[in-house]
Parts: sequence; C-alpha cells; structure tokens
Amino acid sequence: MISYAETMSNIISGLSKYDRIYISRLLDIIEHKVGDKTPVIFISNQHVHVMARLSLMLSGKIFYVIPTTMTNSEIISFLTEIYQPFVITDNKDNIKSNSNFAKIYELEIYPIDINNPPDITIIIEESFTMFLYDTSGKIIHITEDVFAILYENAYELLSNNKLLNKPFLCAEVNDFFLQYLIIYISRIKTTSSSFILTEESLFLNKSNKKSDNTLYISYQSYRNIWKEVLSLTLQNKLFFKWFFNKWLGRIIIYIIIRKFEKYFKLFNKIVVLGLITDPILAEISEKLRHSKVYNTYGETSSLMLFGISNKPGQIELRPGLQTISVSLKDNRKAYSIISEKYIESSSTKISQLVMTIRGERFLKSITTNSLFVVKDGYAKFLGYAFNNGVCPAYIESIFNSFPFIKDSAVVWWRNNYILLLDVDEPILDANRINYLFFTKIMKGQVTKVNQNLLPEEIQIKSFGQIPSTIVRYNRLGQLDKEFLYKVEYF
Amino acid sequence: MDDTIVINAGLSEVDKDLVRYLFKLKASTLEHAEEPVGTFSVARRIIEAAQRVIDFMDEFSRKDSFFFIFIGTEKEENLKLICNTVLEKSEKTKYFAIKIHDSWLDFSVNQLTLSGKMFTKIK
Repeated sequence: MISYAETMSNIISGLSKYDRIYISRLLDIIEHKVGDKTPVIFISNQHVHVMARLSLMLSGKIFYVIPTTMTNSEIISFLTEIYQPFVITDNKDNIKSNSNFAKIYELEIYPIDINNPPDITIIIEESFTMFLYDTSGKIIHITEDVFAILYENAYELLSNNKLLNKPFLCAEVNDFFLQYLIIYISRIKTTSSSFILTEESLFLNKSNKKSDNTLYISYQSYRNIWKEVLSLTLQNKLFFKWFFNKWLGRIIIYIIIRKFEKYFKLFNKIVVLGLITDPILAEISEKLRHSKVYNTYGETSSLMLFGISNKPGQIELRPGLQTISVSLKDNRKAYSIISEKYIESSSTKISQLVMTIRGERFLKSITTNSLFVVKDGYAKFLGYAFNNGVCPAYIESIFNSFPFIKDSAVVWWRNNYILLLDVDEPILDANRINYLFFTKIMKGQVTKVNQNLLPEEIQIKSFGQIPSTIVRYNRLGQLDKEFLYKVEYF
Repeated sequence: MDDTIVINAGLSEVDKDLVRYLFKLKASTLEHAEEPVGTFSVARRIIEAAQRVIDFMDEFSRKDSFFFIFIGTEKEENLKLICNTVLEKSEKTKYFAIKIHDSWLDFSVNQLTLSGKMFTKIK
C-alpha cells in the first residue's frame, strides 16, 4: 500500500512550477502568521482554495474547511466552536460577520516571476487533521492515512476508466476537492487551458459538435439542468397539457430527453459526482445517445470516492471495499456496527450498506442512510431509511418530474405514507395554474401511483404542500429531507 | 409567498395526521433553532395547538363538513375556487376556513358560503 508521504510527493511533483512556488509562499505565511491558532479556510477561488488546503496538509496542521456556500449565521456558529480561529480568506468581504469571533487574514500573493524561480524545498510533515462539514453541517475529520488511500483509490478508478483524457469540471471545489485535485494534475500534463465550467456556460455552449471530452459534474448541477429543461419545455401550454396524457406524454418526455442531451453534446463521457438518486433521471441518463454517463459513489463533501459505475443510480461493488448488508427488518440499528461479515436476511433483500476502508493502522467506516438492493456486483439505490420505515425513491422521483415541484418527500407517519410537496409557486403563477387545477393534477397522480405502482399495503394516503414557514434547506439549497423524515410521533 | 396554503377537503384520519405532522415539523424547527432559549415550551404549545385544531375538526366532522386550512392569510379568490371544486354540494354541507396564525400557537375559523365568501366567524 502506498504511504501518505509518497502520495503527497506524487501530488507535488505533478504540480506546475508556478504552483510549487505558490505553495512555498503559502507555507511561509502559515509558519509566520498562524502561530498556535487554528487555521480555518474560507476561500471561494477554486485554485487558491486547493493550494491553501494542500499547504496546510503539508504543514502538518489541524485545520478546518468552511464551505463558502454556508450562510453567515452558520459560519458564526461554527467559528464559535473552534479554538482561536484564524480565518484565511481570499476576500474579506466574503465573511460578512464582524471579526469578534476570529482573526481574519486576507491572502495577498505577490506576482511570481516564473523565469527566475527561487530555490524551493517543500517538506512534508508526517500527519495532518482536516475538519470538513458535510451538506447537513455535520463535522467529519480526515487524517493523512485516509486521504492517501482515498486519493490513490480515486486516481486508479478514474484512470482505469480512461476518464482523465480531456476533463472538464462543473462542481464546487469545496465539496469535490479530491476530484478537483486529480483532474487538475492530469490537466497540467495534457493542456493548461481553462477547465472549470459553470451551469450557465453549459447552457450557453450548447453545441452540435461531438468531441472527446469528459465532463465532471456535481449531481446537484446535473439535476438542475434536467429540471431547467423540463420547466422550459413545459412552459409551452400545449406541451404542458399533453404532458399529462398517457400516450402524448411519452412523446413529450422523448422531446425533453433530446433537449437535455444537447447540453452535453461536447462531452462523450459524463461523470456525475454523487449517486444519481432520482430513478427517472438515472433511467434517462442511460438513454442519452451521444454521451455515456457514469456516476460516483461516496460522501463527496468528505473527500470520499469509493466507486465509479457505468450504470447510473447503481454502485459497482469492488473488491477491497467491504460491504456489509443488514436487514432493516431484523435490526434497524445494525448498520452502525462495523463487521467483516456479509449478512443477508432470507426474508428481505432490502439492505443497508456500510462501507469500510481499511489501512495498515486504521479502519474507517462510512455509514449511510441510503438503502440498496445488491445484485450481480452492483448495488441499486432504493431510497432513504428513516426511523419508521422505508421511503421508496421512485415515488418521489415521479412527483419531482413535475416542473412546478421543486422537491417532494414521502414520509412515514403513523403507519401511513404522506406525500409532502415543496411547490415552486412562481412557476404555478406563470402558467396560471390555480390551486383548483393543482390539487386536481396531484390527486390524479396520487391515485395513478397508488393503483399502478404501489402494493396495497404501501399506499399514499394523503398529500400536502410543505408550508414555507416550515420548509428547511441544507447548504446546497436542497430540501432537508433527513429533517422531514426524522419527525417523530407526538 | 407567505400565505402558503394547505388544503384538506373532506376529513379523514390521515388528513388529521397531515395536520399533526405539519405542526410537529414547525415545532421541530424551533427545537433545532440556533438560540434554544424558551423554544422547548413554545414547541410544546405549537403541538397543543395542533390538537385543538384536530379536536375542532372532530367535533364538526360528524356534521357533514369540509375544512380548508390556511397558513397565513386567506384569499377570497382562492376560497371561491376551492368551494367550486367540492363535488358533494348540498344545503346541509358546511364549509370552514381554518386560519393558522403566524405564530402557529392559535387558529381562527370562519364558516364559508358555497360561493366562497366568509359567512360567520366561529372562533
């Protein structure tokens, strides 16, 4: 197994001369300014963010990474929990709060004369500890061993699938640091032109040219594009009407898929960073004519990249990645136990995965609330597990396909399923859909879903709009479903 | 829009459950609030308010009634639309608009006419 020091040496030697000088300057700043305070990174510029994070790892510090997508109040509450925070930022205005909670240092990097480089020696310290925040704000810590294994694992996965030839990225480096680093280094070897794309640039650069590029895109951005295409198409009143017809609806969906794939024509490979948990979108991804869609699985905000699969919505189970499958019915809390055994109950195939990575000196397990069915070396996503039952993802997916529904959650409440809808009211208003029509459509769909898709014991009994005074979003702007699922009896 | 509306036409156990669920959600947001001072007792009072709404609906459900639950302000045009959707129109049927106050601690009830106009204030 490759050691942390070797991994870091490989990473540093893969960087350009400019980057190495940049890192040595940052190391100098860290040594002289930070002292015994706790460094905190709050940097929105992708390149500076990566260099600062690498420098802190090299310096052997214990440090925190606060995503720039966090709200101001969240930042303050996190800073109060850190001992003597020393915030390193690329723009002081980004942290709007007063500096009562922390010392704030704005990075100023003077121009580097590449023709006359200074002698640089970069010393790699043996260990570091990095604290990250996941989408729900939960803290995760990463150490040098875990980083080395994940980096090597991710690099191997991406190279084996030949996904590093001409890569482009459309994702926040805050959440996809490992992927960014690998793509960045491979990019230096091929060409140095810009490779960061935004959702807007994808909309602008719709092209008919076929090209041999790979696009790395976060699941959130990928889903946003799908929702955007859906709502743009259905703004046509005739299309909207036909969408709900059994036969014409299929034609409309076909048109929408063709429009959707136009955005990706420049790329013959699309790597969706994060599991495609929407079954309808997963199915559509398989049908794209010009692009092959892969998806990765892992807790992206915590640097993980465990597997890459060419089947959207499914994880490829790899040797070395230990998978524990436990029946929810037998013991709902069993998923938190680390074990080498593979247990499958005869009564049910519904399983929950625990992923375990094993190093020479440690064992780390990632628990997940996602449920999977394991078959033929693949684990197919089923839905989320919550205290009182199982939420089938495909049901939510049907309702999410409506242009005026931002997101939906099927919750288990008093032995019944209740459908909660987060409605996009401006779209309803723009299409002049009043509440009468809205409830009619929803009632019709719920009846249809109950009759055609759900067995008798699992029926949606009621539905309702989540009032805006209650609804909660996580820092990526997604509906906080875990919160909805967690509400207990009273 | 602040005046998000939850519509429950007709009454069944699950509709009552939905009301309970929404109140519980509101209470939970307070329990998870950043400044937890006093929120526990407020959360409990919100849950109690849900029970009062349910009790009210229970009392009237035996009398062939429809309930429309509003969070925020009622809009007359919406009331009209909603009343038009009710299929079982008879003179015996009564229609009520339950307005949950912004604090979620209390509610008021108005009886509606078939055309959706406010008729009498019940509570």
